[in-house]
This record gives sequence, structure tokens and C-alpha cells, in this order.
Amino acid sequence: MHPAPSRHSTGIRLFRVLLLLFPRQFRRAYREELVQTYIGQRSEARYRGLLGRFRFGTDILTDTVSAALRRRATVLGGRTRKPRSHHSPAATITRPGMGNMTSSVLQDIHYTIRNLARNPGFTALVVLILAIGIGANVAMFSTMNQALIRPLPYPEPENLVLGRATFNGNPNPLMSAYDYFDYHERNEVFQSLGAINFGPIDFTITGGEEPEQVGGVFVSWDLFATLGIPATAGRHFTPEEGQPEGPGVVMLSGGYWQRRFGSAPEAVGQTVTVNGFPLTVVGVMPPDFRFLHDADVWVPMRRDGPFAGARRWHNWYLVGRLEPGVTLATAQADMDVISAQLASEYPETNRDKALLLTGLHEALAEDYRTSVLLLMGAVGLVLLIACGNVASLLLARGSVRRSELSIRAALGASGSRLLRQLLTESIVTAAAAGVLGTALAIWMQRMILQFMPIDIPGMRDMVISGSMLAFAVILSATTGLLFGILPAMRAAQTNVVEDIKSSARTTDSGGSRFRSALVVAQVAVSVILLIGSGLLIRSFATLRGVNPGFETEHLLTGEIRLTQDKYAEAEQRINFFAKLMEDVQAIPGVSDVALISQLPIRNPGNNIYVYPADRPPVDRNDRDVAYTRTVYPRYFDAMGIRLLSGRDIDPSDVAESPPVLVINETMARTLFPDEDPIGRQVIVDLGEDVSFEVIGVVGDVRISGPRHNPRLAMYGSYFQRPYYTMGIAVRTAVEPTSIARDLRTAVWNQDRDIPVADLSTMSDLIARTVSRDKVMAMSLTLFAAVAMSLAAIGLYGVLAYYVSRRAHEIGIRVALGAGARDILRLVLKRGVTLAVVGILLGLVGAFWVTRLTQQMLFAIEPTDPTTFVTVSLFFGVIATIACLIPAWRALRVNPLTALQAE
Amino acid sequence: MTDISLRIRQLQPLRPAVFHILLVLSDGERHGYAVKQEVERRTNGVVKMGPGTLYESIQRMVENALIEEAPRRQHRQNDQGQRRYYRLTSFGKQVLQAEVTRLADIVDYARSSLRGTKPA
Repeated sequence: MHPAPSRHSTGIRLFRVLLLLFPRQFRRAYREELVQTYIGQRSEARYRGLLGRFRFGTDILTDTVSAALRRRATVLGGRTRKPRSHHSPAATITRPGMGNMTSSVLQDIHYTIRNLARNPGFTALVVLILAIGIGANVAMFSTMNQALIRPLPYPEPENLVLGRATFNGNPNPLMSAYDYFDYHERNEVFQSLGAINFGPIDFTITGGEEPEQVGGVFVSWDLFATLGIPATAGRHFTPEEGQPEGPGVVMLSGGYWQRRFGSAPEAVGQTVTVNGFPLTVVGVMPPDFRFLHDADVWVPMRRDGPFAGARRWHNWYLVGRLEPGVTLATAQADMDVISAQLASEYPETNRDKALLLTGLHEALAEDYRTSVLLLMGAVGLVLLIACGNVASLLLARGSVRRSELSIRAALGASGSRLLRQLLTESIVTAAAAGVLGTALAIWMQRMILQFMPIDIPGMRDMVISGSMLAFAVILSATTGLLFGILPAMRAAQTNVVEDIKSSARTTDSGGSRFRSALVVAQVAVSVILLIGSGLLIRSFATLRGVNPGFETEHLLTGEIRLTQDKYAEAEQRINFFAKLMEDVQAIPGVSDVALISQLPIRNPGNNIYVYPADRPPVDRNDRDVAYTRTVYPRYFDAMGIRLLSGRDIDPSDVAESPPVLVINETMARTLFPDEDPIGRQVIVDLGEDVSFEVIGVVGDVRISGPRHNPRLAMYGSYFQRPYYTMGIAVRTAVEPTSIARDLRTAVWNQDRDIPVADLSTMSDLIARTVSRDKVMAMSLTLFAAVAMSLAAIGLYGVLAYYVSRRAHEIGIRVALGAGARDILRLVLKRGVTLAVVGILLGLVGAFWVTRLTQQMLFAIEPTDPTTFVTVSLFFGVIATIACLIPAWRALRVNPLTALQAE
Repeated sequence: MTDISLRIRQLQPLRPAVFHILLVLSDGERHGYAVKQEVERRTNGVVKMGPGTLYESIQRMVENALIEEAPRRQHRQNDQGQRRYYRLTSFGKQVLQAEVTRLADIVDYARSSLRGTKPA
């Protein structure tokens, strides 16, 4: 009869509950078929994986709720048009209308409101607790929905994929432009395949009132068409504009168009001067359009243009739109074929290289998935604990209301009628909390995104969506049932005669057993949260404690770009920076100045192949890669980087003298294990192989931030490779930002056309690299603290109740000569047992759950024993305190009073 | 006759779900889930129906006599015994025909007015 083994899964059970939304007649007629269809739909491909299951859940939810509403509207409104034909259905529609059932529901609600209004303090407390819990959940859900579930705001987003390079199967996301052009030509699976460079480049736009620094991004001419976003004004790039000798053109972002041109349509066709080159504006993208990077302007990618000059330069992400009907697997297979062709055609660069395709949404959400799911789980657990506390409160009140219910029962209310009455009370309470919570959620959502920026197209901080509201409704209803059903069932089982007769001193063992179980669950859940937050705190502390390899305090950083028109000669650039060094040194409060082509943390990247001259690798693919930098003399001193052996770069290392390098410890160890590197030659791949002499070894610097281990790095002399753009770091004796104005003046004294933007202190830059870790650690700690307080209150409540129920017994014991120690033991034993069981369960749970945090942890295992033990002890202390108060009250039980109460 | 055309007009425009169910059933009788699968296959997944929408629409269409339950028959072995099969009524056929005509008129109109404008 019921063949499918999965019929009794939780999902189906929930679905069956959801079906209660339909009118009974409809439900009877179609229930089995609805469930069959549900099972069928669940097995569809688009619902696979964790996200798929989420999507399935929301789809089913919206579908069922809307269909049920339509059905109810039809039935109530009697809108069914029945043609007078012999085909009229046999089952005629009965309209239950406002029959018996409905009117008694109204009565319940009416009675409930009266009842709740009679206890405004209690009601307000419950509503507030639940509203905060529901609000946090709805806000987090909305964030999750926007980030992970809702489709990207592009046409047919499911066909978009992101292409990233892998080497030996390891992701190394950027692909070379030459490879991109080959994939573009040879593939048979993409409608179009675009490319975008690794990040915004600083462009200087001149010709306005002041030189302006903007973020520029190189894109293939067809990138915007691939995404399917039309231009707001003008047009996209054309294929000709993507050719090597194509016309000089630029597209503007909506934001820049607004700032610079006041959104005037005439901007299209005008010329702007970018880095000294006149470019024609051909189009403007919509104001809310943003893809991967913050860009003010886009310029077309060209073969042999910037970042696209060689097969070994990896600077591009690929973005493709699949032909309709082509699956990701088919496309990947096609890419693999092309990768294999390229590997055999260009073994030197492509032997181990491949292109990995990932659904665009999945790829963009990668960074956020864990954080968002983790926080969603945490707020869910907090709400669960809050429900436990409210249920506990209601249970306690259930005994208070016992006589009221008994009287109603005596007057003829049936058990189920009383049950419904009590449930209506919880649902109405939860509904009030839901409304308040949803209002809170709109604000909380904004907070979440402020602290945890999520970079996915279409993400907005103030959004009220249908699915968010649906979630709020379902969540409120579930909450109401969750905290209401057991207290209501217990309270409704009243025995009229017994209750009216009996004295207040009932043992009520069932209720307190249930409350004990609740407390154990609360303790367990909060232990899990505490351990999670403990792990993140420890990881964050380790991260903050990592030595970056240089002195980070009192350091102001910036970047200075000389333009190619005025500083074409190396001599001019060297003179500029020599003068700048002198001028900045002279600023009061400045103790040192460092100049380097790319500052650590601020500007990582730029790797290059190297090998020791006397030991060339058999296969050129086996060469090591090293960060390459150019420094002005005194860089290491000013930055506080230790010189381990040899000498620093000095002003005598000029273009005419032999090329020199200072290398870091890791590079010395890797290239010259157990040897003295000083005086050895290193071959560097600068397009052609160039030999450098190693003159010094310095300490390692964590160039990409504290999370990343130091890698090979080498520093050349500025006089031998004088770049246009140099990073400047100024060490100050005063507050670093206070000299910003003087620094700008020093630059502008030499050249008014050089922008000095984005000055920031090194400590800020480092804090930014770990800001997500900080936010996660802080928010999880907040949730854990709330959960722990609620659990402690729950524990206290249970014991207080226990003591008040046992006052009589305790009185007898004291009268019979029990000492304070015995009474303490009696009460504490009960409390501590509950706490210990809860903690043990929590530890087991945490062992399974915390592995979800693995990828967020730095230098610490998710099963870190220190954290597990510390949290257990800590919670043990809290639990003991929560137990001591009722225990102390038990001690003060006066045997005479307790016995007299009899 | 006018009575029937009046009733047809009352039903128009058909909701997408209703239209597609009619379309699928015009090829022969099917059970609910098969209708859903066929609709999604034919529209390349553009029209999606959850279980609720599917049976709500079916119920409404039965009430409006657009479709009817087919008499029980010897189902294939792997078929669920409880599944009900549906087929078009003659009124349903007329409604479908009318809707197709209505849509065709709109498409004609749209084509002719597009011809007047230049592509951007």
C-alpha cells in the first residue's frame, strides 16, 4: 500500500502538517496524491545538495501556502463557477463558512486576548523574549536567502558559470589571457564566454578640476552581454574594441556617471583622459550593477594589452553562459578536452593547468556559506532555548491556572476544547511576537550586513521579501506550537474532582520531569554554542598574536603613481622619489620612511618564477615562485624587518652595477638549503631569464596577512628597476593620520597632478584582514552568552520549583535532625545531575557540530581539548551558582512553618 | 451556444498552470504527477508547479468541468493503485481552443506592432 520506504521521513511529516492549511474536504480528496507529488518533486535534480534542499523547502512552503489560500478563498467566496453541464463534478462543493468550528475559534481568540491583557507584565515579557528570538532568526534567514538561495539578478542565472584555473588539481583561481582566448575559440558549450581581471586597478583620470583616482577593471568585450545586463546609456563594447589595435574606449559605472557627469546622457561620446590616454565613453552600466569588484570604469581586455601579454601571466577570471540544455558536467568535459590540447601544445606553461567550472552563484557564495549557515544555526538554537524557557514558564503558570481550568471543565468544556484554548493563547502570543520580531528583523538585517559585508550581486541591506514574511509566519506558528503544546496538554488533562478537592501541594511529577528534560536540552545546546564561540575566540586570538614579520604600529601607508607622460625617463622617477624621501623625512613627527613597489597586506600578489643559477630544475615547471618587490634603500630598517645576514640594498646598487637581490628566510631555505646564500646567483623569469646576485637575507613577512604563512619573497633595488608606482610607509612618533596632510603637501610640492588617495594606517589594514573572524567570534559569543543565561535561568527555575514543592519534606528532614550539609546535598545533587547530563550531551553534540567551523579556524582543531575542557568547567561553575540560590533557600526552610502548612 | 461562449469568457485569461494542464491533457489522460512532469518538460522548466498548485488547479478545473476524472482502469503494474487519471471534457476542449485563439490574436497584434519599431 505504501511502498516507498522514505514515506515516513521528517520532511513528509512536516508536509502533512502543512497540508492542514487546506480545507478538510480538499485534503481528504488529494492527500495521498499530494504526498506522492511531493516525493517525486524532492528527487528532482535542481533540489540536490544542501542548498537544493533549502530551495526545495522554500518552494514547497510558498507553493502550499499560496495554493491553500487560493483554495480557501474559492471555498469562502463561493467563486466556483459551475457550468450547467452534464460534466458537473459529482462531488459538489460544500461551503463550511462560519460554522460551529469557526465561531468557537473566534471565541477562543476573544477569550485569549482578554486573558493575556489581564497579565500584561507576563505577556509582555514572553512576547519580548520571543520577538527578539524570532527577529534574529528572520533577519538571518533573509540574509541567508539573499546570499545563498535567491537566484542572482541576471537573466537565466542558472546558466552562468565561473571558470577558475587549477594547477595539479589545486585551485589557483586566475587564468592567463592567452588561455582564455583559446577556451573562447575552441569551446562548443558556451553561448558566450567573458573574462574579468583580478581586481580594480587604480586609474588616474585627469582633465577635470582635480586629478582623480578611480577603480578601473579590464573586462572582455562580451562580459556584460554574457551576464545579460544591458547598458543604461550608450552600448556595450563591440568585438572590434576588443581587438589589439582597437579604438580607445571606456564604459562608466552608474555611480561614476552620476558623480562626474550628473547622469547626463551626453556623457556618452565624450572623452575622458585615463592615465594620460584619451578614451571615448561608449556606454554606462546601471547604477546598481556591480560584478566581483567595485569599479568606476571598465576598459576592454586586449590580447597583449595590460595583464594579457603572456600565457604564464595569470590575471583573469572567466565567466561563461552555457548554451541552453548544456549541463555543467558536459561543459566541464569540454573544458578538460581543451585543457589537454593546450597542455600538449604549450607544455612549458600548461602541463599541469586546467580550467575548473563552478556555478556562478555557488562560486560567489563560497566565502560566505559557512559563516551564514553557522550563524543561522546559532540563532535557531538560541530561539529553541528561549522556547524552552517560555514553555517552562507556562508550565509553572499552568499549575497556577489549574483551578480556573478545572472550573471551566466542570462547566462542560471538553478536554480538547481546553487544549485548543491554551494553544490559541500560545499562538496569539507567538503571533504578536512574530509581528514585533519581523519589524526588528528589518533593522537587524541591516546590522548583520554592516558587520559582515556579503559580496554577492543583488545583496541589499533593507529588503522585505515574500519568502522572508512566509518564514516569519511559519516560524512564529512553529514557535507557538513548540512552547505551547506540552504545557497545554498537561494543563488540559485536568481531573475536575481531584483538582477542586486537592490542596496546593501536589507533587506534579510529570510536569517537573518534563521541565528537567527541557533544562538538560537547554544546557546541552548552550554548551555546543559556548564551545563554538570558544573555538572562534581562540582562533581569533591566535590570529591577532601572529607576528607579521615587521613593526605594524605607527605606520601610515599610501601609494604614489607617477604618470607615464611626465616621468618617462628612469632618471625622472628616481629623482622624484629621492626628493620625496628627503621631504617626508623632514616632516615633524616622522621618524622613518619606507618605499616599496607593493606594500605588505595592502597590496599582495605578483609572483614570479625563480631558480638557483647553478642548479637549474630538470623541468621548468618545477621552478619555485617568489613574490617580487623593488625597494628604496633603508626599507628594511624603516619597516622593522630584521637583516639576518649580508647587507641591505644601498644607493650604490644602480643600473650600471650588477643586479642584486635581498631574499627572505624562506627563499634562502628553499633555494639554498644548508648553504650560505650570500654571493649566489638566482635566475628570475622577467620574460627572459635574468641573473641576480643575492646580497642579503631578511626575516619573513606575512605579505597576504596573518592568516597566510610566509612564502618566498625577494627584494630588488629601486635604482635597477624604477617603477612608476610605489607604496610609501611612514613611521611616525605621533598619531600616524595626523601627518597625512603634510605627506600630501610633500607630494604636491613636486607635482600637483599626482593624487594621494587612500591613506590608511597599517594597523587598520591588518584589522581589516581579520574582520570577519572578529565578527564571527563576537556574534557567536553573544549568542552563546544569551543561550547560557537562558539555560542557567531554566536550571534555577527547575530547582526553585523543586524546593518549593519539597518544602514540606525538607521541613520534616530538618525536624528529624538533618544538617545543612544534607539539605544542600539533596538540592545540589538534583541540579548538578541535570547540569552534568546536559554538559555531557553538549560535549558529544559539539564534537559533531564544531567540525562545521573547521574552515574558519586558524591553527586550532575543531575538537580542541582545551576549549572543550574550559567550557565544561566554566559551565559547571555557572550551573553551580544557578543551583546554589534555591539550595540556600532550602536551607532557610523553617520546619515549623513547613509542617504547619499541612 | 452564447451561454457557452459567455462561460468561456468568464474563465479567460487562463492561469498558466490551468492552460498547461489543459494542453497536456489534450494528448490523452494522465495522472496528476505525470501532468506536472510533462508540463515542466515541455516548457523546459519555465512553468513549475508544486504539489499544492497542481492539485488546487486540478480541483478547480474539475469544479469548472474543464476536466474530469477518467473511469478506473487496469493500470500498469508499477502504477500506484490510488492515482486518479484525468481527461479533458468537451467543454475543456472548447476552452482550450478559445484560449489558443485568444493568444494567437495577441501574438499577431504584437508582431505587427513590433514591425513598426526599429530594433535599438
